[in-house]
Order: sequence, then structure tokens, then C-alpha cells
Amino acid sequence: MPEVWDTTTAARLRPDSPVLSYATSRRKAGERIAFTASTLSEISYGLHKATIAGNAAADMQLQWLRAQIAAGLIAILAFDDRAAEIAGALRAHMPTPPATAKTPKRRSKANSRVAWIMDLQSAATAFVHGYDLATADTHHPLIAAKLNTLAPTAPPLLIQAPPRF
Amino acid sequence: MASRASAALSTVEDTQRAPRRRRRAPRRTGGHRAQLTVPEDMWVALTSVAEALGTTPNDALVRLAAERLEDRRRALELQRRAEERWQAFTKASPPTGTPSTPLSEQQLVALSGAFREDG
Repeated sequence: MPEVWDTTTAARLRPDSPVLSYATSRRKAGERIAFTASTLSEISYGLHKATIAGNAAADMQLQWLRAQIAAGLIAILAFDDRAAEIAGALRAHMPTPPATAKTPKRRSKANSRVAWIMDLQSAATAFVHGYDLATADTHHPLIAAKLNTLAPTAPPLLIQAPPRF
Repeated sequence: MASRASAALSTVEDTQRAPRRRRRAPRRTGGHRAQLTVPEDMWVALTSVAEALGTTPNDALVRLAAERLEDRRRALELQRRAEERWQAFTKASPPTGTPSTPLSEQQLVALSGAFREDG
């Protein structure tokens, strides 16, 4: 099954990179890489923030990424009505991120909450679009397990290790 | 007669040129033989695709159709899995019973507000 890249992998896509070669080869094989709209929002935030601060390279990367999406290299999965309902259900069951060994300690409580909501949105989006999720985030297996209890007869959301480049 | 004359001319020209190898498509055993009319613009495009692939326009047409069919198979498989997941989710959360009174507007606003307050 095709996979969705989470932000840690998706953010590494840039010109002349092994990540780009990998994405291009997957597209040629007919299995396009996908990002969720939430992941794109996270990437966009960082690049726009840097652009506002005067980083022209960030602006160039933003335009390059936009062109790749327009050319069909990457599919962007919408956070649609179904994904929104499932993300809401997930948060009702898991209001805050569970403590995991790899939870970054540097984040404020507010930022952790935002990151958690984005994780829930991405998992829900991948789930309702029929994709699997490639991520190293330790929260995602827990979210996938919760999805299995919310939809026990569904084809499960599989969490794969991010591809090696 | 003009066509015969031009055919004869072309034969003379062809014999004077270096022999050009005719492109051949890979032999396919089995399958369905079809005769079809391809729109002119599509045929022009197919011819250039065929040249790039080193094959015939007919073979290019079959290859492109095969690729498109594979894309379609993948898309349908994704759609099927997406639908199965959604149906499983909705069926797993049956109604909890008939409420005596519906939620008030104030309650609804408070419940939605919990998203921003919790955590």
C-alpha cells in the first residue's frame, strides 16, 4: 500500500537530494508518495516563518515544493470531513500525548498540544484515505492502536519505518 | 494512377536510401485482437512516444493503456480500503440510546469549546 510521509521525512524533500530521487522513482513505479494536508501546513509554517525573517532560500524551497506538488510528484491528502471526525474521536479518547521515551522535553505544554493535534490529524487523514504511515514518531503506533479499537474490523493503519535514503 | 505513380516513386527512393529497419512491436501471444480508430492528434502523440520507446505506435498504445489500468487498479484498491475503514468506524460507534431531550445550544457550544480547553 502507498504510504504517507510524516513531517520528519517530508521536510527533507529538496532539489538534488536522495529523498527527491526516491520520491521520483516511486512516482515512476506508479506509487506516488503522499503528505497529509496537516504535514504540508507544518512545512509551510516553517518555510514562511523563515521567509518573513528574510531567508530567501526558504522562499525558494517553498516555491520549489509548490511546483513539485503541482507537477504531481507528491499527493496531498485532504483533511476532509471523515478525517476531521476521526481526529476528533481520537482526541476525545486521547486528549493529551501519552508519555513516551522519546517525547522531546524542550517543547512547552502548548506546543506539545499543537504537535499532538497535528499527529492525530495526520493519522486520521492517512487512515480515511486508505494509506499507511511512514514515521519514526513514537506516538503514531499508539494512535494506530487506538484507531484499531475505534474501528476494530477496519484494515489497520500500518506504521512503517521511514525509508532510508 | 497518380497514387500508383507516387508509390512507384517512393519505391525508387526507398531503394536508393540506406535500408531502414522497420520497427517491430514485441510479439504478444494470446489476448484480444481489436481494430479501432485512434483520433489523429492522439496518433501523432503516440507516434512520438513510440519513437522514444523504440517501438510501434500500436505497442505504445497498449503500454500506455496497461500503465493507466495499473494506476486505476491502485486507485480503486485505495478507495476500497478507505471505504472499509470508514464503514468500520461508523459501525463501531452505534447510537447510545434515545435521549430524553436534545442538547441545548449552550451545551453544544461548551462541548465544542472543550477542544481548545482540554489538554
